[in-house]
Amino acid sequence: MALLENIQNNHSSFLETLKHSFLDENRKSALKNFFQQGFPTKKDEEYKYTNLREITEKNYNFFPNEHHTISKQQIDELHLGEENFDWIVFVNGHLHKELSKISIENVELLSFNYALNSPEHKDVFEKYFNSIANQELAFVNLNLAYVKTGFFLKVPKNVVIEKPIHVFYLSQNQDENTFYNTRNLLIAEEGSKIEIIESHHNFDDTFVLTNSVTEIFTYQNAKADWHKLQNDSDTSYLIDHTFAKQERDSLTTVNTFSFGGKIVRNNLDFIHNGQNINSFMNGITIIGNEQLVDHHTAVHHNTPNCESYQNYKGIFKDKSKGVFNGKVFVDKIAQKTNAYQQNNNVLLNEGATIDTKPQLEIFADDVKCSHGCTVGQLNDDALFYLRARGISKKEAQALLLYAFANDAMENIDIEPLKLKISKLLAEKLEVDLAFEDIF
Amino acid sequence: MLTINNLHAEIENGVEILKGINLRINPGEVHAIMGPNGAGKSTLSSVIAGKEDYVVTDGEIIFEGEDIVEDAPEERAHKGIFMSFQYPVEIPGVSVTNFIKAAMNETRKANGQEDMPAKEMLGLIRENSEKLGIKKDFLSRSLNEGFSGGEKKRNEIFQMLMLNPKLAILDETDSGLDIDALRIVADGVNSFKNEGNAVLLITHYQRLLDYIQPDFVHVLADGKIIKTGDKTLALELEEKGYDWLLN
Repeated sequence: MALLENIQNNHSSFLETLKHSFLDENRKSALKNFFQQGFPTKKDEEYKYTNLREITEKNYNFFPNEHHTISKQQIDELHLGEENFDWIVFVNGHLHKELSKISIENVELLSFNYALNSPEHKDVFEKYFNSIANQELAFVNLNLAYVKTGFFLKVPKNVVIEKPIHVFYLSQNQDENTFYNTRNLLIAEEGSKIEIIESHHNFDDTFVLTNSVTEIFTYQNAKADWHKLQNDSDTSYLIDHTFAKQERDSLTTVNTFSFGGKIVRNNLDFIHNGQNINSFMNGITIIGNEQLVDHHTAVHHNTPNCESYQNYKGIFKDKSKGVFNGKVFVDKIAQKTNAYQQNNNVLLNEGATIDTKPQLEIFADDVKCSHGCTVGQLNDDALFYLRARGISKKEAQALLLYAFANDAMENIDIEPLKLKISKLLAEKLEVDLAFEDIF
Repeated sequence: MLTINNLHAEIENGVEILKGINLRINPGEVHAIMGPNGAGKSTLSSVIAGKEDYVVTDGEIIFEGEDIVEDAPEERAHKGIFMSFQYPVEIPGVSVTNFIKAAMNETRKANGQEDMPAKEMLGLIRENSEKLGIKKDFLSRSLNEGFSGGEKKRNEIFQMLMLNPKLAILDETDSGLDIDALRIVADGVNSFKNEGNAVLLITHYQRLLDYIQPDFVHVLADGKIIKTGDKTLALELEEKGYDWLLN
C-alpha cells in the first residue's frame, strides 16, 4: 500500500464522516480527475527536479486522532508574541477556539468544517470556492476530494484590518503518518485591507503530509498580504498551491519564508483581471541537511498597465536542494506591463544544489520585463574584511548571508514578523547574532 | 611590539611573493613601507592581518611575544592588529554605526569584557566622527555602499579610531584621496598615535609622509626589504625613483 491506494480506499468512508453532502458530487468527480492525472513524476516538466516518490510511497492515516495535548503556552511560543494580533488555531484538522484569539470585527470568518455544514453559506462555495484553483492539477483535485479543514474570510468593502491574523495548522499526538488537505479562501472586497500569516507545525516524529490550496480574491483598491512562514519539522511534507486573482488598482503580496520541512513545494499563481494591478512575490529559503524547497511561480499578465515583482533568495547548506521556476506570461493586450523577476542563490557546501529557471512568454510589444538568476558562493574578500575587524568567521558569514537575504524582506510591514524571520535566520545560520540590532 | 623574522609567503598557486622579510616595530614608532608595484607591499599587510589566500611557508610573525602565524584574522584583530583596506568591501544593509558596534563588541567579548554601554559608544562615535569631519547621515548609510574613494578611506580611519588597536597597518590609505581628504585622514592618524601603539604605512607615494612623519622608511622590492632609512629616504625615492636601488 502507498498513498495512491490510501486515497482510493478512504474516500467513501471520508464522505461518511461529513454531515452534509452538497459538495459530494464535486468531490467524487475531483477524485476521478485526480486518478486520471495521477501524481506528477520526474517525467513531468513541472516536477523535473522534485521527486515526490519519498512522499507517495508512504502510507498515511486520513482520519487524524482528534485528541491532543497542546497547551495555550505552546501556542504562545509559536505566535509572534504580539498581543494585538489575532490567531486561529487548527489542531489535528479541527478549529480550536479555546486556543485561538479572534477579536476582529466586521468580517465574515468561518471554518470550513462549520461552513460546509451550514446551508446558509452555500453561496460562498458557489461564488468563490474552487473558482480560480487550477482544475488541471492533481493536487488541487485531491484537495477538493478530501478537504475538511481550513477557513473562509471575507473582508467587506472598505473594512481595514490593521492587525495580522496568524493561522496555525498543528498536528500532534498522531502515531501514524497523517495526511491533511487544508484549504484557505480569502476575499478582500473593494477598498479593504488584510494581512494573513500562515504556518504549519508537526509536533510528532511521524510524518505529516499537508496538501494545501489557497484562493485569494483582491478587489478594486484592496490590499491583501499573505505571509507563509514555513519552519516545520524534518518529518513534514508540504505541497502548497496558492492562487491570487486581482481586480483593478489592487495590491497583493505573497511572501514565502522557507526554513523547515523535509520537502516543500510552493506553487504560486497570480491572475490579473483589471488595470493598474501590483503583485509582489518574495521568498527567502535557508535549508540544510537533505531538505528540498521548490518554488514555482506564475504571473498571468492578462491586462495592460500592471506590475509584478518577484524576488527570491536562496541559501543552501549541506546536501539540501533548491528549485526555482518563475513564469511570466504577458498577453498580447497586456501593454505597458512591468514584470521583474530575480532569483539569487548561495551554495554553502559542495553537496548543495539549486536548479533555477526563469521563463518568460511575452506576446505584447510595449513591455518592460527583466529577469535574472545567480548562483554563487560567499565573497572571500568580504569575509576577510569582516574578520579583520574582529568578527568571527561564522558570524561574518551569517552577516553577509543576512545582508544577501535582507532585501527580500523589504516590503514586510509587520515588525514582529521581520524580527521572527531574523531570529529564524540566525538560528538556521547557527549564530547568536541579533541581526535586528545590526541591520 | 611586532617582530617579523625571515617571512616567506606564497599565494595558493605556489608563487612566492614574500621572500624573507625581516622587520621590527616598537611601540611609539611609525614605519613606512614603500616600493614599486608588485613588490609585495599589500601581500605583507594581508599576511600580517591573516588573509587566508596566502600561505606562510617559512619564518615567524611575533606580535607582543606570541607567534600569530596560525591565528585566524579575527583573533589577530582581537589581539590589537588593525588593517585599513585599500579596497574596503561594500556590505548592503549594514550601517556604518551598527557595523562598528558589532566589531567593537566582538573584540570586547573575545577579551573578556562586557559590551560597551550604548551611551559610551555613542559618545565615542561622535568624538571620532567629528575628528574626521564625518557627517551624521554618513553613519547610517550602508557600509561602503556607494561611498566615494575618499569616503571609504575616511571610514577605514574612523574604524581604526573606534577600535583603537595596538598596531595599525594602513594599506595605501592615501590612494584616491584629494589633498583635503588626505590632510583629514593624516590628522586622524596623528591623533591616534601615542607612545603605546604603532603605525605601519604602506604607500606608493611620498606625499602621505609629508603629513605623517615616519621614524623608519623601508623599501620593499621583489619580496624583500632592500633598504631601510629615516624619513629622508622617502624624499630621496621621490626624487630618484626606485631604479637606483634595484640595480
